[in-house]
Amino acid sequence: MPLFYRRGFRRLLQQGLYVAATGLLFWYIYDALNLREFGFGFLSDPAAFKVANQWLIDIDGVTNSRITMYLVGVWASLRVVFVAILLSTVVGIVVGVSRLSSNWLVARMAMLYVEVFRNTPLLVQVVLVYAIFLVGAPIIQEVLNIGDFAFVSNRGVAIPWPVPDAGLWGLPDWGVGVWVALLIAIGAVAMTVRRQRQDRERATGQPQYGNRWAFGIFAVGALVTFIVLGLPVSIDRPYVEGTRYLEGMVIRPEFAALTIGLTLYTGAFNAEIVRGSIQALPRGQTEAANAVGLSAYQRMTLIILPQALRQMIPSITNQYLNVNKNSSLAYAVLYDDLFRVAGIIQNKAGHALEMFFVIIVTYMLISLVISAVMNLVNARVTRVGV
Amino acid sequence: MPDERSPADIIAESAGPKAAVATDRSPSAEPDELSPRLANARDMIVTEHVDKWFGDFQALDDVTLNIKEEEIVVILGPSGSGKSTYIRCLNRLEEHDAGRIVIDGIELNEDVRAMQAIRSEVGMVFQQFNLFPHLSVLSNITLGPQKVRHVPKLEAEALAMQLLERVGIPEQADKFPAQLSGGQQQRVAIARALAMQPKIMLFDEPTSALDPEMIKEVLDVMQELAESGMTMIVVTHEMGFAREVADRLVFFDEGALVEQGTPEHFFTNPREERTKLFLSQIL
Repeated sequence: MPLFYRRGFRRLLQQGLYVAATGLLFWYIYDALNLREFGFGFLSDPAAFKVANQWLIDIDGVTNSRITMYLVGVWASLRVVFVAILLSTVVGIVVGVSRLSSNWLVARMAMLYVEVFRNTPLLVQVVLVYAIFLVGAPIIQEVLNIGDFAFVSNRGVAIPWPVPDAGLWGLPDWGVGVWVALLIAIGAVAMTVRRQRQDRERATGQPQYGNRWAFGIFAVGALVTFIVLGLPVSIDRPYVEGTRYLEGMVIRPEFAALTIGLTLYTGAFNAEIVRGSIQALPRGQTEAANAVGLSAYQRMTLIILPQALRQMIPSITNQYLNVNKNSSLAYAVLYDDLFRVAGIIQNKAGHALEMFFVIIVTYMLISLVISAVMNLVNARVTRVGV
Repeated sequence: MPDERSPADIIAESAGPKAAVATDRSPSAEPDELSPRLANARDMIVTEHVDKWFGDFQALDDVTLNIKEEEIVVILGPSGSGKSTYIRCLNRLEEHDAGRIVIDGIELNEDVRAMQAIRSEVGMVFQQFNLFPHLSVLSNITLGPQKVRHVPKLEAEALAMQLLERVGIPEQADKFPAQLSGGQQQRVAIARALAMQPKIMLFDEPTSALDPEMIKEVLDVMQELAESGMTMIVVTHEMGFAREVADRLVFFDEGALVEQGTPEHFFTNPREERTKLFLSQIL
């Protein structure tokens, strides 16, 4: 048999060719990068530009390094992604269950929503929400003042916000930390009591009111800490000075437009996933639950949802990953997310290849975190005990 | 709208006009002689002139059938004859459109309390088992008693183990339904229904989805149950079971009750042409 027709030789040949081609590609990339002086040193140089978001980290944008500015952008992206994921999940569950409603109007409204937002581009929705905000809301000189409490204008919505404060007995700032730690401890005690009461309810069959006990313990505990420590935060109320909001928390129209757009768009897809997962269950499950005598609520929480969630979570995870990637549409409404900040850095410093490398790695890291969290959620919700 | 008459009245009333009903219908609906052991039993299930429509299709056509306590009734009929629809109306998985259904003195109507009460008195076993796949065998059985009857967990589990012994698979308690054979799954389904301590058991083609070698193990459990004095309504094509266990056979065709009688009557001397045709095809 000629060597060329031997299976073993063929396999070896194919693998050899593959290794050679890959090696050539990497050598080419390495060579090209060398020519361009590939390196990340430029990221630690001063940024010399400003971004609109200054939350979390106090930055001036002039002396801070470029990597700091980039991280401010990352933080801005994370905020949008986090809020949009939460809201789109709520929208998805409510609309998805509504589509299965026997109420004609509710079901049709839900269907209309899904069809409109699923079938139009996200970019259009984001820009449209932004435009509605800019055109529809009053200008800052005619700001809508809601009882000196909140302000609405096309510069955004300003609301009061708690800031850490020195507490009673002249406690320093870290008094807030003590207070929060106390609240967490009280919460833990309440949850322990709740679990014990639930266990006893299972063991004896007698209702033990675990939720009421937990809520009561937490309310009383929180009240006691309030009386003893005072409120170690003060509420920072916003006000308007000239054409600016001062203090308080400002939800800017760019953030709102991007978040609302992502929520509406992803919510429509989530609704379809929720509906599909519930409908995919055999009718027999509902009938068996009815035949056993379970109530509608018990049927939903003990039989339908635990099974539907198993089907739902992988698809919902995909939607969450899409939220992460789609958040780069911040570019369209000039929201300073990581992609836009990276673009500014690239304008000033060049190094497009390095910047894109950083951008890709960042998005992948966020996606990996989302996937990891959802895997944990998946493991948790599919475990059901009676 | 709760019925203002007492259960006893309803039963007395429903037992009364039986002869009259028989005369104004085709002669075949006349109740044939019952097993002597049921001569003095009270009516457990009363159904009078029940109609059920699915859109334009009439699934049940003026069905009148009374079933005694501890009676074993086997319902026969070609597919689409309304036999499954009939027993699904008895625990309100389907709502009847006309007529009256009274179970153990409780009339089935719009009153949700009546529906709840019926469902914990009537156990049902399905063709496709319909076990809850995310729960262990034990949890499948304890779910109803714990959540509906508020039985303590340990008590519910003890009862579940007793029932698993009774259906012959106590060693499968901690497995999940998907790990069991069809026959074992159906026996778990029977145990699940029995755990609610029902007075009536409905079987909707319990052996139709089983491999032939598993049919017997399920029928054996059903026979044991019948001998223990349970009121049972069984939709099945298992003629051996019908002949040996049933007190009464009922033949449905095109939504109507065509003929009823003892197994002996059915297998030796059926009256109606449609019954004869059906039996000749199936035997």
